Parts: sequence; structure tokens; C-alpha cells
Amino acid sequence: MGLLESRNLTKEFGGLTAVDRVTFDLRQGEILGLIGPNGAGKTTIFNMITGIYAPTDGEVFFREQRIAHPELTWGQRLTSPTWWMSWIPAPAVQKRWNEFRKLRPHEITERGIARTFQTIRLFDNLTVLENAMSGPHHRTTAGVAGAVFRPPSQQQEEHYIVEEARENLAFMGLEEYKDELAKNLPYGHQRRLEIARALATDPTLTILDEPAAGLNEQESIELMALIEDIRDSGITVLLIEHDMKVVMGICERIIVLDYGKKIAEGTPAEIQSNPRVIEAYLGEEEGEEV
Amino acid sequence: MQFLQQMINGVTIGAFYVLVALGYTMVYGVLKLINFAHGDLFMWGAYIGLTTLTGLLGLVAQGSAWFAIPAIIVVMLVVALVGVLVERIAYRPLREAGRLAPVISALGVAFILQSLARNIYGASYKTYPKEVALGGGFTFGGARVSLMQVIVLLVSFLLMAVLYLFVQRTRIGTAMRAVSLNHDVSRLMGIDVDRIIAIVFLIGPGLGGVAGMIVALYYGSFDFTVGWVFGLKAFIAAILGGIGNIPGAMLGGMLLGIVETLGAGYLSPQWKDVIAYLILILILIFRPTGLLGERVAEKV
Amino acid sequence: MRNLLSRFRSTNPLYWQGALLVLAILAPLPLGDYYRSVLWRTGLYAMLGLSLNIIVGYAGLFQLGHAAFYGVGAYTAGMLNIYFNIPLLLTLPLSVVVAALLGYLLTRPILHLRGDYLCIVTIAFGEVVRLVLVNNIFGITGGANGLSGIDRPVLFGLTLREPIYHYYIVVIFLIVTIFATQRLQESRLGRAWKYVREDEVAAEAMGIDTTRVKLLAFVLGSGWAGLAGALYAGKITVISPDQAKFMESVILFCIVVLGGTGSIPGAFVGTLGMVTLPELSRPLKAWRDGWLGLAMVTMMIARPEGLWPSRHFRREIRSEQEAPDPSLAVTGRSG
Repeated sequence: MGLLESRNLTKEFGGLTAVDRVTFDLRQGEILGLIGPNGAGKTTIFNMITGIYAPTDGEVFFREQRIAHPELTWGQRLTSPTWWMSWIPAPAVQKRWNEFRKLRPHEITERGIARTFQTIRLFDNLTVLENAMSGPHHRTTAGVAGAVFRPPSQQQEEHYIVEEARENLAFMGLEEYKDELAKNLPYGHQRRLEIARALATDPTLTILDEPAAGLNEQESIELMALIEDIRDSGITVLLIEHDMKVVMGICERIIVLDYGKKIAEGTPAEIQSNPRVIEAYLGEEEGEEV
Repeated sequence: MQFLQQMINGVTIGAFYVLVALGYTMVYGVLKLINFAHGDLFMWGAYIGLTTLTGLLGLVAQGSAWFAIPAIIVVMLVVALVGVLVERIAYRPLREAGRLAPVISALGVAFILQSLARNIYGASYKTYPKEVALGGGFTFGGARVSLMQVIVLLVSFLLMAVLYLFVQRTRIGTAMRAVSLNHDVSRLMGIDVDRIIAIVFLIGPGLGGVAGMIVALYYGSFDFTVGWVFGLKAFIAAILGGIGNIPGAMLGGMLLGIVETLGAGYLSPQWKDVIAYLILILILIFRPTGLLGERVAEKV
Repeated sequence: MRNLLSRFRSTNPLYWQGALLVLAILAPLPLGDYYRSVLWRTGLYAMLGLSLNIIVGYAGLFQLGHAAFYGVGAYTAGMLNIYFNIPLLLTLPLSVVVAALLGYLLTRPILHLRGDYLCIVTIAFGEVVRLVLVNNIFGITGGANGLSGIDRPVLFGLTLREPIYHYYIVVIFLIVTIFATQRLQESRLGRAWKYVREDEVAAEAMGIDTTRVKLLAFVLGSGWAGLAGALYAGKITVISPDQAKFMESVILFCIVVLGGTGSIPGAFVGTLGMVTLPELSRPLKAWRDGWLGLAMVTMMIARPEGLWPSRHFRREIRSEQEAPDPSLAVTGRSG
């Protein structure tokens, strides 16, 4: 099984089927691109993987553990012993409960999947450094007592958090802006901060949602190099993107969606010459190349 | 029979709640603001009604229940005017100020109104002059219906019907519905949003003020705290029906009046306020958009 | 002026903190009992303001029912003292625990609500608590008139009757409160609150358990308010449901928001304006509601971030005004 596997993933919103039985897998260490016309369901798939919605049908596996599955009905809850016993703090019981219920987004992040947002969602009024410091949060434990009494363990943790944050900022080339407010950064740097922040959570898989949106030529080229650096550092990348230069340039494999269905899968070369893909983007009338 | 009597009383109280709830819901509809001051506008309606009636009785030797009619008109006009002033001074500057500031300002206005009432009229209970009170009634299926109740109900339903037609059938009404959906688009369509909002603040508080006088007439006496409790209940009714939704306010008001009266009659009068609050809490937890409201979700 | 301010900022904070402390200790000495009580009341409300500051200022959650926990703390202390003869100082930890527990139970089901709706629910909860106390549930809460005859606290054999002793007790707790809230603000937890306040969805995506973080704010704030309630019981020896009424919650909310959201000096400024000033001025007392109301309206129009807000909050409010958030009340960013 691949690092991430989606099986028959489906999402319906009322009468609209946004994602229709999409099956794909993601292999460790690759850069996989997910493309398709607007409204094809790409972000919805992301949202299901990262726990924002539950699928209507289908499942997602990460590292062979199920992380997404349809929402339980009350009938299912009431008739399952796992639900009744979920309050027992025993590890074995809790393990089964975690597989049974819907995972919350922060739990998905804890398991090693990080994401960025299509519209930038930085902590605007905080500094660049503070933004990045949110990454190591889930890997540290200081609580109320730690905050008030500041024992050596807490101080070490704070040191660690700052170090990790700075490292990730440096990786994305943002170290010099660390005390600048996030909202004051130029757009291109804000995009980078989104990514730096996601990387600071120490993920195994990073999902980038249109990271090149709004970037100019030069910035896109820099972004491509950065994404490859991310992959080279051992992190697998799943990329949604509209900018074809970026997608064809760095993705090893590409999956194409249209109206919620997977219509093609393959290498950039294969995708570019696939007639169904061309049709989906351009319609039957035009005969131009992608 | 007990049940029928409770129902009749419940419907009467329900009608009062509806009149006040309409004010809340209309203001929320166009401004997305919970006008905490509304209950106190209702309270001022009661006081102004009292002053007007006392004044009228002072002029004419022989009092009569018919004096209530000019008094109601005066109340409606005065409270409506106060409503518009409040909007202009305390809410308009905060249109673009986020969610926190208008709420605090509204609470502030509520306190100012309360303080004014307490200091001008005094803290003791006031009673409406007996000359204006209406006695008499009839029995119906074992329950007693007073003439007062009949008139009050008629007036209330008349006002509700007029408002409903106004919002659904007139241009201004349509403009109000447009503004409640989106200010910017309404402006693009040529609607003078400020004027529409001012009109809403004429109608909403106007109705609330009238309700205040009617309630005071019905119960006979009141004090400056009546606005707070009544206002909160009416507000619960508006939320119950779906805030921003006019038919919702009507449904919510009636439901709340009936449930509350039945609860007080069959369970215990002390706890009737708690029942109302619990309804509110449950609605907000499980169905915040109310019975007739629509569900909306955030796009991530 | 600017020079003075920057020189002030660069001197060691311990100097002026020490000066304030000395001032606090010496202040009641030349004053009569009435004014000593006013000082006590100021300190107590400052404590309450700081406790609400955690919820409203740090975590950015609307809480308009905070006085309920103040009342619950007072009642816990009072009832334990009256019915079980537990000395007042020993009831303090229990008051904290009961108030904190109630805070947890009441807020757990409503954490998903945003903005206006959260505001209304907290008002409703506050009123329900007050009504439960008024209705004399199980016959133990004394009804609308409350309970009286609570013992004075006894410390090392000395029965603390005079206002000045209560004032010093409050000062001690106030120092602890300031220290603890300052530390919380600059900690991992404090940052988590900032993240949640800025953008809850993004915070959740970064691995922060937003539910837990919000609950912590409520539990801490509520528990601390309970402590203040117990201190109140020890001085006034009479407790009533009026402590939990909505007006009290609004005063506390205003202390935080008008004084300066999210900042510790702000809580003091707020207390001076909302509590101390009306106490000292007779005409202001009669028009207290009106004064409060006027302060609220004018502050929101002129200076919505409060008189002495934390740096962070001033930035936030100013940026919200430049680019208002059109999200609906049902979902969207809180606060």
C-alpha cells in the first residue's frame, strides 16, 4: 500500500456530487499533482483527507491506518460497543475508538499530514516567527503548570519551539523577516510562510493547495525549486495546482479530475497527450494544445 | 377547562412576544445586530403611553377607553423616532466595526434608556389609569376570555398582517429584504441602504413601543425592569423562529407564549423563565438558525 | 513625551512594579473604613476582570455570563461555611474547583458557537444559574434574599473583621493573579490562544486542539472568578443571587473590553472606571447604569480597543476596521 490511499472516496453536498468514487494512491517520496478544472473537487478531496469533512462514502488510509471514513449514523453509534465504551481510558479501547470515530483536523496533523490553504490563512496580526512557532505546538506538552512555574523542561521546550520555527523559516528563505507581522509581508512571501508553517509541524506528507496562485514567473520558478527541496528532505508532496508549468515541471505523476471523477492518471507526458484531459479543460470545439 | 384557558392566555402573551420579536428580527435582518436596546424601547412605550394618557385625562374631564387610540399613535411615533435616533447615533458609526463593538454599543444604549427611565419616572411600579381599563368579557368552552384580550389580539394580528404585507408586497419591503441579504449588492442595485435601515428602525421600535403600551394596559402596572425580561423573552422567540426571518418571529413568539404559559400552569410558575432560557440554549446548541432559518456553512 | 515613554519602557520593570506594590500596601493606611472598603472592592473587581481577561482577551471568546461563576464561588464558600462549619479560608480551594467544574460543564456543549450566538448563550446560562439560586433549589440556597451569617476568615487565630485585612488578602491574591496571567500570556498556551483567536480553522490545521484550548480558558477564568466570590463572602458575610445577575456580568465584560482587552493594566483601568468611580461619586451612583451605557457607546465609537489594550489587540481591532469580516454569525471567526 502507498503512503496515502484513497478508495472510492465520495462526497455529496445535498444533491451535488462533488467527489465521485475517486481512487488513487500516493507513494512515499514522490510529488503527486492533482489537477482539474475549477469545481472538479480537488479541494474537497483535500478537506476530506485533512478531516474537515467526512466522506459520504469511501475511505482514506494513511500509513495503512484509516483516517477518513463516512460519518457514523446514530444507529451505528448506539449499536456498537466501541461507542459505549469510548470513555474508558484504556489504550486498547482508545485505539479502537480512534479508528471508529471521525478524526478532527488537528489529529490528522498530529499523524503527520500538513496542509496549506487555497486562500492564505496566516495568523495576520502575529509575527512571522510566531506563525511558524505554531508548527511545533503539537509536538510539545507544556500546559498551565508549565506556563506559570516555568520549570527547566518548559524552558527547554520553548527553546526547541523557537529553534524549529527558525529552521523552517530559513528553509523557505524567510529568516530575515521573522519579526515582521505576517500581514505586512508581500504576497509571495506570505505564500512561503504558509508553507513554512506547515513544514514546521514536521509532517510526513504535505498537501499544498494552489501554492503558485498569484505568483509571477520568477516566484513560480523559485517555488518549484522549493517544492523539490521539500521532497528531497524526505517529505512526500501532494500538490493541487492550476499553473501547468509548475505541475508539469515538478510532478512525477499527475491525477486529473473532472466533475468529481478521476479521468486520467500518469506521467506529465502521458497526461499532456491524453485526449480526455484536453477535452475536460478546453471542451470539444477547440483543438489547441494544453 | 384548564387547558383551553391556558391556551388562550398563551396565545395572548404570544402575540405580545411576536410584536416585540418582530423588532429584533427586522433589525438583525438588515444589520446582523442584536439590538439589546429593543426591550428598553418597549419599556419606554409603556411609560410614554402612561404620560400621554395622564396628559389626555388631565385635559378632558371624562376618561374613556377610547383614549387609548390616540395614545397608541403617539407612542408609536415617539418610540419610532427614538429608534431612528439610536440607530443614527450609536449604531451607524459602527457599521464596519466588526462584531464586538455594535453589541457593546447596543447594551450601552439599553442601559442609558433604563437609567433615564428610572431617574425620570422613579423606581416604583406605575399603574395605568383605571378610566382606560376595559372590563368585561365572555366565557367560551369553560374558559374566560376578557374583552381586553380580544382587542389586544385583534390589534396585534392586524399589525402583524400589515407588516407582513408591507414586507412582501411593497417596494420598500422588497428593498428591506435585499438589504438583509447583502448591503453592497443592494447599493449597486440603487437602494439607499441607510434610508432602508432607518425605516426598519422606525417600524421595529414603533411596534415594540406599541407592544409596550398594550402590555401595560393589559397587566395594569409595570416598572422600568419590564423591558429587560420581556425583551429577552421576545428575543428568544425571534431566535426560536429563526432570527432575521419575519414569519419565524411570528411562529416563535406564539410558540414561546404558549409553551411558557402551559409550563407555568402545569409545572411551576417560578421556573417559567428558566424554561424559556433552556429553550434558547437548546436551540442555539442544536439548531442555531431556528425553526424557519436556513443552514449556512463556511467554505474552507 | 515620546522620549519619556521610551525611557520608561527601557527601565527595569521591577522598579515601578515595586513602587506600585509599596503604594498598594500604604494606600489604605491614612483612609477611613469606607474608603478602605472601596479599595477592597477595586482590588476584587480587578481580580475578576483579570479572570475574564483570560476568556475574552486571550482566547477571544464572548462571555457575558461570567458573574455566574463569581456567584457560584461565593455560594460554595458560604454554604460550606454555614452548613458544615468549614472555616472560610479552607473553602477557597473548593470554591475554585466548583466554579471551574461548572465552567467546564456549561461551556463544553457550546464551544462550537461563534460570535453573537456564543454571546447569547452565555447570557442565558448566567441567568439560569441566577434563577436556580433564586428559586432555592433543594431548599439550600436561601432564595432571593440569599444566605447570611457567614463567618469571617480566621488567620492564625486572628478573626479578620476590619476592611483593611480583607484588602490585604485581596492584594496578595491580586499579585498572584497578575503573575499567573502574565506568565500564561507569554507561554505556549498563550500562543495557542492567540492562534485560535486569529483563525480557528488554521489553528486546528496546525495541530492545535482548539476545543481543549478554549475549554482551558473558560475553566481557568471561571475557577478564578469563583475564588473572588469566596473572598467576597468572607468580607460581606451575606451572599445573594444578585451577585450572578446580568448587570454584574456586563460590568465585568466592560472592565475587560473598555479598560483594554487582553492587557493587565487594562483590567485595572477598567475597574477604576466601572467600579471605583461610581462608588466614589454619589450622582454617578444614581445614574450608574446610564454612566456605564454612555461609556460603552462612546468607547466603541471612539476607541474600541479599550483605554489600555495589549499591543496585539490594538492591531487586531484596527485591522478588523479596515477590512471587515463579512462572515455570517453561524460559523466563521469568533469574537
